[in-house]
Amino acid sequence: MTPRPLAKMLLSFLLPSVLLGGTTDAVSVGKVPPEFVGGPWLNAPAPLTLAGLRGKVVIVNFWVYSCINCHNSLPTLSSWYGKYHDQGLEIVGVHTPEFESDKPTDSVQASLKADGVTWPIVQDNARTNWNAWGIHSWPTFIVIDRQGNVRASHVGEISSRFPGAIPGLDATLRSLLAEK
Amino acid sequence: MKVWTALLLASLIGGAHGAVPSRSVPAVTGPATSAPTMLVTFEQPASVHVNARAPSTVTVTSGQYSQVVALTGEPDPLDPEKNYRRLDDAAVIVTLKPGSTVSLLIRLYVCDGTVGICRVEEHRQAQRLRPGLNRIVVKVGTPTPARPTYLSPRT
Repeated sequence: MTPRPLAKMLLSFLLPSVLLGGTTDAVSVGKVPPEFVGGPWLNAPAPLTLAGLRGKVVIVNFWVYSCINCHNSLPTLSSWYGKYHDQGLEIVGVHTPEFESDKPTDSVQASLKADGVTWPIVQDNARTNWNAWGIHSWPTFIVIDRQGNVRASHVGEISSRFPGAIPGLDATLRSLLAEK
Repeated sequence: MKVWTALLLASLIGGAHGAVPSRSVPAVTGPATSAPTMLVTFEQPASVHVNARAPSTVTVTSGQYSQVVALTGEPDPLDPEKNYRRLDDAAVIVTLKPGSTVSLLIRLYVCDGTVGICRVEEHRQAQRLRPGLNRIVVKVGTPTPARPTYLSPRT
């Protein structure tokens, strides 16, 4: 590997972690995160709660469909959802827009269809979840264990372009899914 | 730096407060009249992309006066999905008297090619209008510290 891609990989893994470590007290590892609020919920017959998801490993993905780095991360999430959903993995997307153009439910639904996103999504147009969880940038990923505790987090794209964090997150998911 | 200038005429005739011009007229090198014109130019590092999937804007306000201009830019030829833009310069004619002080808010939807994070970046400054051209240089990727670097709670 040439130095430049190596440096890029290290930056993609380390810098977001540093940013997260300094700015997201509400979702620190070991803590119980705030309950979901708001809506509407898409890809779900009824609103989900973290309490109701106890017993599952949950990835909470703060994103917005117009965010390119979020969009590029969807295939990685889809891959995990396909591999691990039957073993107890759930993904919850918290769709938090900054721009009015990203807020209409119809637009979000169209993007979910176009991108093949099938996991539950809660619209967070008022930024209530975003603020309560102390999130600061798109995309942010929070991994919650079967007991409802935060066990890992990552800020930044996870994709073939930014693969640095994927092996660690994948290993974490497998480890948490193995816990009973 | 390649300079494209977009002349934005929304406020030449009164009543355009808050309007977002639907199109721009390119290629002027300076004001045709003595009306103050703000020429906003961007220094954009190669690894910092402006995301075209939502609007980046320049907002000029002074008292009841308000003008919002949507920024334009050329697609990055290296981006196959044509989401990334290299921002054009923006020339904003301000229908206020020279000597007026305006507040400038430049709001950019930035996606970083190094760490994989998208954010909304805001640059703010006050400007006393001089007759003719008022040049503003914005360093993309270095917002003013008065506002958070990353999309953040409004607290």
